[in-house]
Amino acid sequence: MKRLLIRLAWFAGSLLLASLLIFAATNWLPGDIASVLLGTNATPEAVAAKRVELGLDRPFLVRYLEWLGGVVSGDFGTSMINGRSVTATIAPRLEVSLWLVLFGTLGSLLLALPVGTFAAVRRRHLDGFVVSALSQIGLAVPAFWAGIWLVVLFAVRLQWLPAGGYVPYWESPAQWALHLILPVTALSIVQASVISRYVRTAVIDVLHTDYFRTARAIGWGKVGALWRHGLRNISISLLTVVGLQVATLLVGAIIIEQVFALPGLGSRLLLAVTQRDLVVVQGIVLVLVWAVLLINFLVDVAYQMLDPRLKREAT
Amino acid sequence: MKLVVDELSVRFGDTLAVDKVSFAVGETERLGIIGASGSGKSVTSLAIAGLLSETARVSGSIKFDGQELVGLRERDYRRLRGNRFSMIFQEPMTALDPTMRVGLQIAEAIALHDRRTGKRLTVEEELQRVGITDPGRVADSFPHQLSGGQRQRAMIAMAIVNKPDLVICDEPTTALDMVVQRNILHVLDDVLTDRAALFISHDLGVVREVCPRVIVMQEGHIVEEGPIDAVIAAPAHDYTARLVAAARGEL
Amino acid sequence: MKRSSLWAGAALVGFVVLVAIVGFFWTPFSPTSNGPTPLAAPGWPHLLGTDAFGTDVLSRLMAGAKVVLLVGVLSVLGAAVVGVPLGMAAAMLPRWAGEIPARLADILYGFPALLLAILFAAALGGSTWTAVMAIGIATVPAFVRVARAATLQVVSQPFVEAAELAGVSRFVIAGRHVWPNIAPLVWVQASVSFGIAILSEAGLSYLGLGSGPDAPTWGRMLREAQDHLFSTPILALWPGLAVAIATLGFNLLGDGLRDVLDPRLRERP
Repeated sequence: MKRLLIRLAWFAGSLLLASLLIFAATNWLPGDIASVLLGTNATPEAVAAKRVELGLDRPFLVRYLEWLGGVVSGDFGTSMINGRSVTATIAPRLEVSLWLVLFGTLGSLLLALPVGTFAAVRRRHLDGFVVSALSQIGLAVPAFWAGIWLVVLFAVRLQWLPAGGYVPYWESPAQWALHLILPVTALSIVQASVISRYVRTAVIDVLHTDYFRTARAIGWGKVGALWRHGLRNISISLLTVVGLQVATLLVGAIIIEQVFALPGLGSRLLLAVTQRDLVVVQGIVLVLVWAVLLINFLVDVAYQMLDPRLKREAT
Repeated sequence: MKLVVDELSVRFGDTLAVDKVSFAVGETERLGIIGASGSGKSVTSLAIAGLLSETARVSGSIKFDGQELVGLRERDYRRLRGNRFSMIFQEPMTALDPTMRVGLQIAEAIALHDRRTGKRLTVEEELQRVGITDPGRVADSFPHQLSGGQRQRAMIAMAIVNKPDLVICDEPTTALDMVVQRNILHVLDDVLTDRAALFISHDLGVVREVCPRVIVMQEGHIVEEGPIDAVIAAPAHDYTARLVAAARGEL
Repeated sequence: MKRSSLWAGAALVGFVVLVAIVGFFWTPFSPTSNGPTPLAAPGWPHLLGTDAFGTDVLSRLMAGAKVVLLVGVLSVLGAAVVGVPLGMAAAMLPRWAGEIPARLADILYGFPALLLAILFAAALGGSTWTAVMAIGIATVPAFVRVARAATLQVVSQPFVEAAELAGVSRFVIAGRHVWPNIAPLVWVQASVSFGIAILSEAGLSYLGLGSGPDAPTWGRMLREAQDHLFSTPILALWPGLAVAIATLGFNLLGDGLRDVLDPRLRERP
């Protein structure tokens, strides 16, 4: 219990630190946002007035605390460009990003587990080596490049799937699924090569364990023993790797949204960057970074609860 | 004869781990194999079970109930393992799956070979047979929640649950302290009655407790063979003499 | 098999570096000015064809190699210069003081380079320098972690204790005993980080957050190629291939260095 509280305190601390870093990055860096927004022809008076309007004349710390207070109560401020509430801007776009990350994680696991296991079991054979080499290559491929070629193949050549765009689930579940297949696949392939390399190492370790030998001795085949006893032993540490990969997946999703013109957080974020709409940028980046920290925290806690060996020490 | 090993050799790359080893075990006989680590005794037992790593090259013949095991298809081997013959390993902490309750692991051994899918009652009965007084709690425990002796008893229960004809014990008491070791030997002595057993150990004293006959291995060869008391009384080979001298204190 | 990844990695990295050096002095055509034959197929004189503005693709690739290596070298070098001393300090300072950089690194570890770059680009406008800064800062934690773990191992050895007892200052110990022992691991990390930096740079310039519109980066080329996927999909092939080759090279080099320099990590048979 005490350990959980310490972890919770670290988690809260890192949330706070991350928010401070984000706010500082957009507010402290040189570059006067008021003059950027008004263009090069603006008079000094107009710039000064804009600064007051945006509240930029007040001390940094005051503005930070105000912003943070708003965020905690669900108010991310108002856009510098169109004056709309940032919360209202972000909310409808969460859905797309959520699907991408969720299905990207599931897809990469579904790919990585069999591929990594195959590479481990067949590591002394040519086919196993080829699979390992392919995952090494997969590591070097940008997800958005994979996405572009999926478009070329399945949208341009075969015309089986749409090249981009999004249809919400409640409008048409079938269209929704069709539009998500390619982006999710692009994300999954690249993620899977990272995870499959981890799975391969972990499975090789399992193949050398005594409990694996016991499982074989009571009549399991290699694959059966791995499925029944290897997977559950790997899963605990695999969870940590997958959790750490969520950050990479989120970033990958931002770029993938761009490739497939998906209306998620990433594309809204990039629009805000080109408009120099700092309040929107801050808000979306904060949501993304906090999501990463939250997932890492949850993974950490789950790790403690799942591993029966650790559970003993924790109580 | 239950098990007939004839000119068995096992080679890993350039090293010959087992060199033309031959022996036989009768229907209800217990044979001890004794030797230092690296003598090839464990490799021999794994060769019989078909659990050597795929880098191993096995030649010669292993006949179990008249069936040739060398070159046997994996699918057929799987039906024998844990069913017609079974194994007990040295370190029960690592030999049991640390993430799975012990009762479930035993039930799994039953379910793999029997459609009755390991009824809970059977698991607890088996645990009782190996001298566990609170089988319900032990079945519900993870390996790390049990004592070394309880773990090894669970391991033995797993091995005999399908009433195998042959049990291969690979250093079953080495990881345990003296008192527990004695108890486990009693349990083994009990459960190995009426079946064939291969008992592998580096400890002459332990082998003497359970095996009337012994073979001595050194560097992949059998250097001596015979009734255990005769071997101890008059070791014919230098190496055996040294083993006997080393064990003298306990005998 | 032995050391094959080291040699393969070195060959690929060498190839990319060679292309970048040649591209620095000479390219077959101008990598920035438009040409008369847009979207030409690969052939002669445009070996890899031309893009929508008639610019020679090979020349742009060669010029892009220069940018990618520049960003990689600056960001990884900067991250190492900051991160390695921090990591060493985290391991050698008293417990409470050492915890701070270690914990900070843990928190920053979840901060992807792309998000940093987005913040910088929003505040300053995107450029090669914001890309270098973002990738560099995001790479620091990796060096802190590696240097800290390696230093902890070194300082627990008797010869360091002996030096401490003899009254040798911590700085001298760090320079004379610790650094030579942890340097190999730092090189491995540098190679791995370089691979990641190339991927990040490609992502940033694909999004238009990196080098300006005139700089011929591989990411930008991919962005432009995407407009012609129906007519000339091959334009999307070359820049992506270049990214993959360069990244693969540094990844393999890192793996190979690890195998050679740290035998404990070698895989079991």
